[in-house]
Amino acid sequence: MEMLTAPQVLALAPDPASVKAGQSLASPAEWSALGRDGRSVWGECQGSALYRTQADLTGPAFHCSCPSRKFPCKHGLGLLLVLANHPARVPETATPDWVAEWIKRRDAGAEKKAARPMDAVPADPLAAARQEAEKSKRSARREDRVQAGLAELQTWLGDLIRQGLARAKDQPARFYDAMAARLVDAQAPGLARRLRGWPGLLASGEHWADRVLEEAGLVQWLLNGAARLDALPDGLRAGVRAAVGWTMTEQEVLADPRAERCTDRWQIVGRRIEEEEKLRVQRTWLVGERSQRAALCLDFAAGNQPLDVSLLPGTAMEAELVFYPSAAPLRALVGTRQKPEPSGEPAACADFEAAADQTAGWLAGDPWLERAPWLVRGCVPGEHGGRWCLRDATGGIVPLARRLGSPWPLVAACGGAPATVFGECDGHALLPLSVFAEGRFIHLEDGTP
Amino acid sequence: MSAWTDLVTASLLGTEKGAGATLMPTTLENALGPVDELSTEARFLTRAGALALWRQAGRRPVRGEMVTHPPAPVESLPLIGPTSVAHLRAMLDGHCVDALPEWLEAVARLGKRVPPEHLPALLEWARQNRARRPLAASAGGERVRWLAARNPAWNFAADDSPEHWETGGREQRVGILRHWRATDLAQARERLAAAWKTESADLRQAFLGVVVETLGEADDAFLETILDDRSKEVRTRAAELLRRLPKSAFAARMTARAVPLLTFQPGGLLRRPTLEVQLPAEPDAPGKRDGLDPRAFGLYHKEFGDRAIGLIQILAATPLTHWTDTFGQPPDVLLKALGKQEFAPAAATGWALAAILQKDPLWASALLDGPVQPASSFLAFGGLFAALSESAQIEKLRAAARDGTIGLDPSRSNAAAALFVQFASARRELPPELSRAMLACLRRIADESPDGQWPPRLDGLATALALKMPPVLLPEALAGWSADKPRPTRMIPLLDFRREALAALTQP
Repeated sequence: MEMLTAPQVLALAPDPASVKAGQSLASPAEWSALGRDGRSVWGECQGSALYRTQADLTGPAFHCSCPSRKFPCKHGLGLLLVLANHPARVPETATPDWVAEWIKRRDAGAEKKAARPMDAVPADPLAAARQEAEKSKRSARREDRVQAGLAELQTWLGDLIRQGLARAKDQPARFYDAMAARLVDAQAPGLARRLRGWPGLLASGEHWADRVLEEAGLVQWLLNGAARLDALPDGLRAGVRAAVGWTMTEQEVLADPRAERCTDRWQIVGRRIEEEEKLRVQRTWLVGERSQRAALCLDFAAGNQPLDVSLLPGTAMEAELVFYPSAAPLRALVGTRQKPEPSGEPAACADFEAAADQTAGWLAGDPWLERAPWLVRGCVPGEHGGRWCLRDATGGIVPLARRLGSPWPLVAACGGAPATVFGECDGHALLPLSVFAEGRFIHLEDGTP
Repeated sequence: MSAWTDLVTASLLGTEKGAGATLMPTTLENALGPVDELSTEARFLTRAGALALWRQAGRRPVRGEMVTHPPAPVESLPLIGPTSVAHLRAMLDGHCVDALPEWLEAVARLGKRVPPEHLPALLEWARQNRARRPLAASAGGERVRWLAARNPAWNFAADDSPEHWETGGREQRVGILRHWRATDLAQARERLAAAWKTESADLRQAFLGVVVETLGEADDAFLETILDDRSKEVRTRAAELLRRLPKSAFAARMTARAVPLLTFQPGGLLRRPTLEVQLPAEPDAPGKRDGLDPRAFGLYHKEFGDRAIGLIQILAATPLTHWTDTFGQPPDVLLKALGKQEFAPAAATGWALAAILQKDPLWASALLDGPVQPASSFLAFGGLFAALSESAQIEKLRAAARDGTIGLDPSRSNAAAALFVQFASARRELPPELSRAMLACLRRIADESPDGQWPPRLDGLATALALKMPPVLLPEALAGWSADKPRPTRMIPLLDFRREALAALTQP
């Protein structure tokens, strides 16, 4: 049975309030009739009434008789925390009926799902043709809508640059948000997200015009690319489509013959969870031990949905990764995988110069890459020009991203000695996500539990 | 790279202001391919995009001077285990954070240390409260001192080795003095006396705060000189310290002032013993130097008047043994002998202050149960109670738990509950029998609760109990609650957390 650690359990919480509530139920004393079998764990908790809580650890999936609409509810979190922290207090016993029934229902549901193929082709050839035609009509409608949105963006961008960035700086944030909203309607969420970043760039202080012009140029490139999509080579086309915001479902990626596959022992070297438009986005970075490749796994959770907790920083696993088609493939899905184990120190670039070279290579394939993974050994934190920076073994200096809440955990972990640092580089600054110091992997908390 | 700078300038003005064709590096222009079919603006931005990408791909780390830190000393202590790290994180996130001081003490006692990356959060927690500071500093290995020296906000935990005595920050120097006072009192006195004149009043006060922790008769001479200090606050504080030294010259002067004020007539066959009280004159100059001041108690002096305040102050500073020795009577007899005369309460108040300061259990007991009540507004809450012997305190608290003094009636219960919290906070662990008595008391309160709600007023008591009762009593704490009655919500989880967290620390 796969047992989650306490941090993994807390990562399932839909919000910070749930973390606290779950922790308040993390003591075995709060529970009665605790038990587990090879697959599930259960217990009873006295709240306003006696609630029966159960979890299927293969999911993990939860079920609770409490009226909470949060998922998982605090009882579910508490139950798994009890199991994580006090396994001896959860005895292996016979499965009670109320648990067995729920598991049976779950299995029946899963079978039904499996029996229903993704795109069932009707037996009747006429109906099949009709379905196929309907499908291509749907996607043609979407293409039209995106192209209309891009045309509108081109006009908007043209006006903006004709009147000058000095005037653009005076526009209120809602001016950019309105354009972003129209791009969302036009089903170009990737571009919409970039547009929402503009007010921040305009207000970014010294050299703001450089940053805004860089971004405007890259958006123009995206428009150019989208206008002649058919003429582009496969990888670049995929890159343009991804940056505009045509999403591929996991099934599409897995079924795509052009998608690259790479089997390796993957080390999970960093993770960051960010909020984006009511969505929690989890970015997990992996590095292949044999291939030295970097990969990024994204997971999204809306509202109360839990994020995937199976990729725990500081562990490594044999797995096949399937990369999204791109001329500079980084984003990937985890295909078949084996049990994670603690990982050692990953092989890293010797200095920032080498990491910058690697980034240039990715940019050549994907000009819209926003954050490149940097894994560099021999880094020391310190201050340069009034700003926190990292210095590599050759004396190269890179500033730390201002988004890093506090540099102190990194400073404390390094203890004045060179360490291997992993982080995301946005071209200007590095956001450290983890450190390997004194033989330990240290995940720098991102504040989001 | 002037092409880019030109582009930025042009973009600021706008292409309509006649920003002409930008000169691009030829290789780049060629790589762009034909851009003629694009509008002027799109062409401009396409070039900007090319240059931007070129710049981005060519961006290299800067070189220059950087302020780095000296390497931290090598650690000799092992790290706490992963389960304990999870406990620490939970506490720093606010879950059962009340248990953190005890837990840190256990980390230090077991010779382990907190992983470096959690030290910043720990130091931030410690910064908010002085009592927490030594705890954080002792559980972080070498690294915590190294780290604290890097950030002025944390210098309370920085290295307290003596070479920083003259250069260190406030908290660091306080730490060094504390270290000396613990290891070499003579040197501590010498260094403090040598540095005294040049220190700020705030720091002089802080140093006296350290001295009081290990106060001894040998501090007499030094404190005597502080009675002439420039700062009134420092002078007052020095007098306060001297009042705790019954063999000091200060105590002798006060005793001399006190002797004429009380006249004892032993009882006879038909006569009760009496103790006549006289008020002192206005304080003279030497009296003022010794801290006698009718305004010392602020507004409360109205309760008695200036000269009665003088009586209180003189009695408060006179060794209590003087009275029992001179009059040959125990405290309860002397209190009774005060009778109903006008200034009896003032005399009792002076004695009560003395009993608290001199930690005299006999006098404290007599004053608590005696016929003359000291004025409570002059005494710190629970002061006399804390001066009782430990066994007497425990007995009183057990009685309050047993006889229902602690219960649903706030007017009866509040003071006793507060005394329990005070008693528990001052101790590492509550004795088992008192813990059991208090558990029984809480269960009875739950059963008697009329509205099915646990009274929030008693949460503090339940928390204090959960924090200081022996964790092995958890099974007893769990048992005996009626299923349909409320119970203190935080108590059991806190006790359980303590038990788990302390047990996890001892695992390898």
